[in-house]
Amino acid sequence: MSDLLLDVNLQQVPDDYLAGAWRVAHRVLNRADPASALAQATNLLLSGQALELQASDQKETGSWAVQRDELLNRPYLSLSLPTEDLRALVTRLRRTTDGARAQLNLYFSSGLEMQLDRP
Amino acid sequence: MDASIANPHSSSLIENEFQFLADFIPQLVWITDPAGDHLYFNQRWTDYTGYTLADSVGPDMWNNLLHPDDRARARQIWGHSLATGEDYEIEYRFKAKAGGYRWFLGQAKPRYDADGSIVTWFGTCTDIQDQKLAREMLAEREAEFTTLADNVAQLSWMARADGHIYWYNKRWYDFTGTTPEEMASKGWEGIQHPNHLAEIVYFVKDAWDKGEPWELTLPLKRHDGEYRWFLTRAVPIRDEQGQLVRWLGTNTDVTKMRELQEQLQNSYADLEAKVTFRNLELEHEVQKLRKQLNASVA
Repeated sequence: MSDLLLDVNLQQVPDDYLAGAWRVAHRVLNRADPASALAQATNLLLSGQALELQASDQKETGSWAVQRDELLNRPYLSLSLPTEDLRALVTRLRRTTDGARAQLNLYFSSGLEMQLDRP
Repeated sequence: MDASIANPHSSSLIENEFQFLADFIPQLVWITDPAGDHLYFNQRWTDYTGYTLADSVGPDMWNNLLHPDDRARARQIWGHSLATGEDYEIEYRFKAKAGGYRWFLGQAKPRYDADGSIVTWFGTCTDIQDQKLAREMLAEREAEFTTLADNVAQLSWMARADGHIYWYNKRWYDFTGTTPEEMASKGWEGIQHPNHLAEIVYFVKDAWDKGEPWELTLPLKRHDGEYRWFLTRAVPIRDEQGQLVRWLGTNTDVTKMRELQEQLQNSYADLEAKVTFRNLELEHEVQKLRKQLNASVA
């Protein structure tokens, strides 16, 4: 099986492609608060509707959903946490043909950008 | 009345005619006995070398007139002809009386008697200095062209007027991993991507027929099976009458450029999406504030 990550067409991406246990591989804060839970997160678990945000010394749970807007040619995630509600635009999704490995790029309205890897 | 004129076959007339002919033709003419000792030189020989028949005593006289680099080879080939009776042919340099050497084509044939024994060797030396220099200059230019063609960054090729490619540079063979024999027998179709082949063949056939310069970006298969994108450019070469005689073509690897172009396009698309996303977020915020405002007013 090829280990090559291929770009997924974001206009046709199935919602379940975005679910899974994601590891924060890379992050650019821009103007985001560096002390926020999201800025500290090391893992992001998206299963069913449940969201779990893991950091080295804390854990937050909430819910998530995939949303679409006709003005955007790609989906965005709506994340509900106890302290805040966030939205993150999916800027890129790459995965192997068998889906065993994937890479997800998110852009938050705070300016925070994240690259998530799975596994 | 002169007897030789009255009888055109008289031996003295033939001898005179031979002498005239031998001195008239532009070659140096010589005759030897079966052992290779000279019996005759024409006037041109004597004029060019400064050697007369009397000076030619000794087996190696003529050999000493040769350029030192040609002597051993000439001795070996002439010796072989004398020993076997096979026709003699060689290119060598003869020293001129005036100084310097000139290239000659030496040729000789044996003349046999009724018993089949060699009576004499009849030989000529034709001045080929100009042709030789032209040939050397051509070979030098060809070597320079090959060096240039093999060292340019592009894959290069030349095709006949009908589009049949008859020459590729070394970079082509290095990139594709093919040999000249394989390219001659299988053609270039095997190097193309199957998904693009039909389109390329159609385009190129049309381009050959039009006879105008053309460009096409296409993928070519590398020796390891990976495809890379190349910008192909072909220019028609015409003779003085304007007749298309050949095509000169190059393939420039533009894979990196295409990747950068794609990255740039993706970046623009991402930026556009981010701006739209931010605008939507602002819209959500505005709607939220309106609701709060309406609620407080109510």
